[in-house]
Amino acid sequence: MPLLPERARPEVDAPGESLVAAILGHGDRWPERIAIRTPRETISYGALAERIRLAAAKIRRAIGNPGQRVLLCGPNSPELVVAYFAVHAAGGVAVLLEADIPRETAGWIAHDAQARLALCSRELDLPIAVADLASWTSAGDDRPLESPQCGLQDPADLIYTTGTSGRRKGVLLAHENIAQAALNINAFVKTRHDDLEVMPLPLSHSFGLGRLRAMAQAGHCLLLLPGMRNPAAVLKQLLDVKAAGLALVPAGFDLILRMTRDRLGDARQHLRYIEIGSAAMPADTKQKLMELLPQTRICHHYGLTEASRAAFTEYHADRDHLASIGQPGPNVSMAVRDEAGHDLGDGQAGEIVVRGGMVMQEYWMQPELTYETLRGGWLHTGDLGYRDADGYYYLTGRQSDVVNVGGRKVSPEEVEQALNKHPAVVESACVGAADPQGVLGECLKACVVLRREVRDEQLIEWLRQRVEEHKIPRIWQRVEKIAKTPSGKIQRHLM
Amino acid sequence: MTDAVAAAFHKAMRLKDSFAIADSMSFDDIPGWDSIGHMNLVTELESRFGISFDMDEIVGLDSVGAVRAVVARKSAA
Repeated sequence: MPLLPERARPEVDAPGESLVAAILGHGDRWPERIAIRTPRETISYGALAERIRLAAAKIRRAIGNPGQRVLLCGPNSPELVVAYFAVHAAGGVAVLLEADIPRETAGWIAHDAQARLALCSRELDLPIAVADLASWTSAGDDRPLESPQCGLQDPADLIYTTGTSGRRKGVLLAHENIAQAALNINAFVKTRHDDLEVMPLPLSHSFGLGRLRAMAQAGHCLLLLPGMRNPAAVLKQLLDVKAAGLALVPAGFDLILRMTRDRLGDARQHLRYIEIGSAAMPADTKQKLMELLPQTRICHHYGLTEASRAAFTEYHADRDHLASIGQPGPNVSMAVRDEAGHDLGDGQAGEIVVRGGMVMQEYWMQPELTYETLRGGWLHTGDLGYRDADGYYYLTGRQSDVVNVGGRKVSPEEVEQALNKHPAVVESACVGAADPQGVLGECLKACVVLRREVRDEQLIEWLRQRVEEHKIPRIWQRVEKIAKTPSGKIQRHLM
Repeated sequence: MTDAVAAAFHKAMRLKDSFAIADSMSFDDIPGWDSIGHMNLVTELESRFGISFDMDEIVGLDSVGAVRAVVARKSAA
């Protein structure tokens, strides 16, 4: 593989300790420093470490042996942060679920992960022990677990991501993977321990969780917000607290710019960095951000759950390569390969492969898929693209049918299965399409064959009982038939 | 005006006709009231009532009752 040209790629060491060890260390060294803020409360590193140690003792007793999976389900909150690191300290493996996950999906994950315990902020009827997240992470009279019961090679997180067939895949990450990812991210973004960062992304999502891990490594403060439902409220918080950092998906910036016009520019004096990810940003939005925030490091990552962040661009520094996904991040190698596994030269399109200490261990209980994906020590991303002569990578497509809706992956098959159960639907096909409002990048378009007329709102209502809101198609089309191959596979490119 | 506010919610959140809007409802009570739904609601209200919201007003649009109050105040101005 040809050497990449030198760009400001900082050297990054291998991690010397797990993230939970790092965060407990911050608590011991700087107990007064603020770790987590919400609109209602403030928690210091000292208090956070104490709560992690107490919750870890309780979790350790409940799971017995190390390596047991613990489901965590709830919206962004200090309790969820405590639980996440307490599971690690107890030697367990954290399995984060979306706060609004349908019960059926949570049940499937509990079964697939063979989880021992679930800590939830809402009632979830699961076939395993379920306990209240808040009460297990508040102060108690147990003896705290002083030292983390995990090594760098031990499994830390099992993250379920959308698979091509509608079945979710469990991505198993070791403590060294997530610690390396945090070091890499902080080296590029240049997060400092005295930064206050606004973080509205869900911690159950790989991007949001990555920001929490980065905080554990850097020792800065996260202002956790409940989400992006009210985009103007996120900007108001950012301005009110004069935040130094912000993490957001491209759709979030688009919404803020549409709803508050140029007010983001009011943050130019204090906003040192932004991390953007999970989807592509339209070129005009990139230009607008650069214009409004001329001094801010605007860092856009390319990544995937299996490999955290792989490549980065910083809009100002990479202004001549804004259409690219950037160059490999610190401590990361990338290449483009053909189907036979040979490296391709500059300008030749193939599959993008990634290597580095942040790459996952395996797909949980799927050895064949793991073997296919981690061939030769390289993670095969399934994304198609090429590298230019300056060492920048460009995406041209992907091998799977998964649709990226505003930064969240959706399997068309999952939505089709739910839709096909509606009494008025004969069959359906869902495909990715440009979001007509231009916010989400891609959205889902549903083509439906009906046996009787039914309004879009009725089908939407049906889906709302069965899948998460972002999976609901935004474009509806009635068709006579679904295009299929002779073997019955939907020909999505024809829909 | 009451019907027009409810109609704006129905259109912005893609609600079925039978879904009843009540003043006490907030984000969690109305399906589809996510960030896109919120943007659509603002657009819908601005277009129906011929008004425009600034950032602080949009921040305050966090319940049906709050929406009704802001719309009434701005429409009367």
